[in-house]
Amino acid sequence: MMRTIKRLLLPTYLGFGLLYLFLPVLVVILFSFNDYQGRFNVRWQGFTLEHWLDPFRVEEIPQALGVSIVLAAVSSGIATIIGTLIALALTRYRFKGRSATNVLLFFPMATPEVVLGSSLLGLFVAMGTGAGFLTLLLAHILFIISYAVATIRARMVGFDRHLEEAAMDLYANEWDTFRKVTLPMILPGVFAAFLLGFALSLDDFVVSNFTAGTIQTYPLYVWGAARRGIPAQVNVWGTVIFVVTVTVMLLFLGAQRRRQQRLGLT
Amino acid sequence: MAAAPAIELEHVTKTFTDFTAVEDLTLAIDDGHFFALLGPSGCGKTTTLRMVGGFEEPTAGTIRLHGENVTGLKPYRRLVNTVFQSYALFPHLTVFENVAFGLRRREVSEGEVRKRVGEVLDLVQLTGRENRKPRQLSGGQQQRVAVARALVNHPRVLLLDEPLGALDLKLRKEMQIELKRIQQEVGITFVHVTHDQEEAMTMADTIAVMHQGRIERMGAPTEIYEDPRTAFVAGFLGASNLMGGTVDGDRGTIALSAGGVVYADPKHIPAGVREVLVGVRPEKVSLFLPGDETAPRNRLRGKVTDASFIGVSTHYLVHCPQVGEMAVVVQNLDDRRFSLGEDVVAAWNPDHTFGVAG
Repeated sequence: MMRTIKRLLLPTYLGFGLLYLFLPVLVVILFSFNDYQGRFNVRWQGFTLEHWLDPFRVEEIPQALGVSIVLAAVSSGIATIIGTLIALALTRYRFKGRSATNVLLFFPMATPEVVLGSSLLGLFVAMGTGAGFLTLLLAHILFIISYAVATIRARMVGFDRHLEEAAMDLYANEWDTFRKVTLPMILPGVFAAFLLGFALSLDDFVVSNFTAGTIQTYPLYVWGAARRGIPAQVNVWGTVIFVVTVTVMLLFLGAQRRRQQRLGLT
Repeated sequence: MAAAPAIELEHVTKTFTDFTAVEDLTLAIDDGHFFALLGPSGCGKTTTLRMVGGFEEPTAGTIRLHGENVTGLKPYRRLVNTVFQSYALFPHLTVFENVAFGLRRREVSEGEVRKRVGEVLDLVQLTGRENRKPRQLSGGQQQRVAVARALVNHPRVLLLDEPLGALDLKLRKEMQIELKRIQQEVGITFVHVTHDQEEAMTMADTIAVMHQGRIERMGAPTEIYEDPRTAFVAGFLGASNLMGGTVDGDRGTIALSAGGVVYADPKHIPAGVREVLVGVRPEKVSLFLPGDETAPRNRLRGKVTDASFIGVSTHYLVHCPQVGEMAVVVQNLDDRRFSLGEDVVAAWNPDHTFGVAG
């Protein structure tokens, strides 16, 4: 009796945990097929493919999504490049202000987003730049950098510096050494940082709300639409984002595993 | 005019923030030699090697390679190659691409790259492993890739930083012979850093013993073993029995502080000092029964306090009232062995006495 309970305890616990995590996502996916009447898509009224067959019916959705994707790609791209350089500097060199940099890097992660967003808006207004795509971009780069540095730095722990010396010994100048040895070694970390930054940017509402001006990102659109009734196309696109994200992550994990096997790490 | 030495260091000093690793080092290594820098950890040998390779810049002094001043030049501008202690093979590249790395940087044609990588892999006996990744190889094979990767560039000097340190004893012995063979085959200068005196003596034709940032003694292995000249070298290179004494006028006899005399060949006793340490290697000492007139001239009476049978030899510790414990190694040529507590005479030929400044 006790043994049966013990044996079932862990799977049950795991099942509830997964249900808790995925139920909201399942609801989003389910309601993209809801044949609802009126403005509010909140009660199940029947199955339809109507929304999936006409995903562009509400023009604002693909537009906002486009803005979000470009914003996420550019801000995460820039933040990843800067983050890589910072991580390299922090793990390589002992310089004045190194520990200060370590602490300062933590600030954007620790600061409540509401405070960060409102302060940035205050700054942009004070500088007279107004708010728009550029300010949005700057704000996103700002909060992604910390995460990028943390991700890449974790990858660089245990990096054998003799590898770079060996490259230089074999006639590679600084640039070739970086291109042929350092970068390939830390590439998985750099790529992971980019994906993380992309997801953070795509998802961000609070900071964007303060710094976007009249620009509408996807989260900002959804928030605005919530008062008028969210069209089922939001569920459709939400599902697409979910599926794409999961696919990319699985591909990335698969590539990582193959790479480790290739290197004989397992 | 004679050709310039392969490596010249002139008054080279390297100071790090809190200590001096190398102090006013002047050294010339001739072309084609197998040169060993030997010393305990922290003696400055690796720092010296890294300065030749260009990974550290000397605080003061000049470094020349084949007459060309390379002080301040980046590693990739020096025609030397290095075998690192950790091998530093590129884990993301195959054996072939690891070895080809230097050639590709110098834009050697593809055909030439294939030919030269093939030749050098043949030299280190790794043909057929071209497409492996470093981590799929054993320690000894990784070591060979590291050597091949350096040699393929036809450097005029090869620097080896404790390259055998990570291998087990048997493999280390094999690689010692292997590296010596490779050096003789390619005929270039090898500079080998090690803390293993046996390894240095096995491989090198010239050894420099370093201690606290300076070279204490430099010469052929036999020469510095037979006449170490400093107490440090005598203790670091092999074992020695050292005893304090005072030199007589002609340096042929030394009066021991604790009584008795030791005879020596004057050329092995430093000139101009009165207080010296005289020494003799354990394997140069033989044991005799008291009163045996066939014993050599230097004789110290004592009692056997320890005897260990090692197979090829027996190691004795003999307590001599005048000098304390003496180590004696006797070849097991006959059945005569001495037992614990036995009264003996430890004796050796005056030619085998050496003196170091006390």
